[in-house]
Amino acid sequence: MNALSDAILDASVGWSVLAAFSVLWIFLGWFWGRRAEALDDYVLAGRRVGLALGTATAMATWVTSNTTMAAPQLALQMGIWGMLGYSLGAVGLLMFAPLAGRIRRLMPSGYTSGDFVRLRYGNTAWRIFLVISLCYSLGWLVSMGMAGGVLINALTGIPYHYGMTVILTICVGYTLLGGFRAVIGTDFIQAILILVGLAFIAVLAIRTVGIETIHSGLLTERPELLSLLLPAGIMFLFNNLLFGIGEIFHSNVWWSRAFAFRPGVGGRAYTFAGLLWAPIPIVAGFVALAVPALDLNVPAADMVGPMVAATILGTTGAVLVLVMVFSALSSSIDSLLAATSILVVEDIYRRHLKPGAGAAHLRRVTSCVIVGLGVLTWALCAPRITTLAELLYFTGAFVASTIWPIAAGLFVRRAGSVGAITGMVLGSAAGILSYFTIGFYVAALVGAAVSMACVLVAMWLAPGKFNWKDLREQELAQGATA
Amino acid sequence: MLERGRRARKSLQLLAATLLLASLSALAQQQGRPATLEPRDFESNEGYYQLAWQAEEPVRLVESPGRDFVDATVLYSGTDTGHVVSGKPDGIWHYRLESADGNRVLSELATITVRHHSLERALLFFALGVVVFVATLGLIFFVRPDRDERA
Repeated sequence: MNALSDAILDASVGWSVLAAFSVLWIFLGWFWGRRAEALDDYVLAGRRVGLALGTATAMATWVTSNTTMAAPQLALQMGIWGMLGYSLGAVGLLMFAPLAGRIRRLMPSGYTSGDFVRLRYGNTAWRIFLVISLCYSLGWLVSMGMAGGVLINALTGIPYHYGMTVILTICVGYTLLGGFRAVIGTDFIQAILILVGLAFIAVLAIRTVGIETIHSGLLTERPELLSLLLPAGIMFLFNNLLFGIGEIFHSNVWWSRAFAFRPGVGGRAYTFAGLLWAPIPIVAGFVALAVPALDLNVPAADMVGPMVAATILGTTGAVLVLVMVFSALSSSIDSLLAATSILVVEDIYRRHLKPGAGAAHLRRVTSCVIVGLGVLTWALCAPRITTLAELLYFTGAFVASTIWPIAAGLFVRRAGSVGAITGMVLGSAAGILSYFTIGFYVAALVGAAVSMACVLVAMWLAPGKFNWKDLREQELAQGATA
Repeated sequence: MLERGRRARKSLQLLAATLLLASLSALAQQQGRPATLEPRDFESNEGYYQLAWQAEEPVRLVESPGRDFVDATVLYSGTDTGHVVSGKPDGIWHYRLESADGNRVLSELATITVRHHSLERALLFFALGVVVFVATLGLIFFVRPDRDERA
């Protein structure tokens, strides 16, 4: 990483902010989780999450370090299209709304997205799906752990390893104490902090610098950022949209919420979350366009958001950014820890290693897996391998290749395992190929297109005859044994 | 025999002198260019790229459309070790590091060629995106799942 010569905040201020919020999250984790004894209570918040908490948790989880740091980065690199393209990630949430309702109806006692793929397409498709999903989850966790360490280091001068360790330890701590209930509760507070912080920074950016100054600065120094015919930006637009859809459709982070929401809540919660989330990347991205007007040197593109905020607002801005990004990171890391742990416990431990395990045993194993995931993430973050952050872009091809197998599997009886397997394998391969030959901004698009073609051709040549009732009956039986 | 020995000694002395001169010249060059600027030669299809450097003193980063740096612009001056360039139109851009006062050139030349993807290619991917997106929308919002779901 190319470094700034000076940290913006004093390290003691950084430690104070981290300590205050760490104590708050841990306390809330303990408070909300103190009665979660049963497995369903611990991993799915008792399946009784209402609309307000449901909306907040979906929105806060989708506001990751990627939103607060990569949206400004993309605006700086691809201008107007980068900013708008990133906000199209909201479409994934909006399109998951009807899926959430259907998932809840089809699998009222389900636990994971892996459950669905296994029952719908069989073991081969399920194992391919698990590889994609677990690699994606781990890549996401590692990129956020690293982002936390880097950001804290840049803002406060606190060494990378300390910052990264604090963030991971706190998230593991309160997820362990409170389970999914704590994740959802803290997400609600974190969502409010993120929204208020961003709105404050954007208003001050416009007031301090002014729209006209920003526009003329761009026109003089970085003119292509204002061009609607910027080719890479045009290519990026649908790529990011499909990447977002792929991330949400396949990931257990979103399926576990669909299972946790009260019947009838999922569709509305995801719709509201999508509408609330859409402006966030635009606001965050807009801030980056002030760089020429502020005559600011940006050593590394992913630092642009925090740097502009700190330049405009000084110490207050830096503290605000620290609180906001700490919230964004926590709300995503805790969700990933919770959702990935149940995927590991249900789809790997119970299905492959201990089929007869009871609920109490699984509850204990879930806690161990949360700690294990935290340690593994820490170990992968510690060497600070910067290419791991780029790994997340890689996953675009893989996750986008799951869009059609998942969506067709939920809505079309004729969709079968041949289409799902070839779709995921060939879609991923084509996406990765385009990543290397053209650029990261087409990998998900190509992956989704090839996967869609595979699913459609297979439906035509070898149509399946899946019976939805079978899915539900099998799933109910499994829920009962758990 | 004696003559051959003298010649061999002379050859060895010549070789040593050449090696010494080459080393001194390399050292002098290195001293004249005490900073490294990366990437040295790069093509961008997006109009953005990152320049990174290592230097032991404050520097200024200078950009010029020509190799002679007659029409040069100072992009940055200070102790940071990188600079992100974006929003560049098609063209060839040259960069180098200079001392903070601009009197000494500290690095070798870095040359970046910006050649954007063609608009036809961009619109082709855009159209592919529209097709996949509309088809996915249709699948989710207009396909009615089979009736046996309620059975």
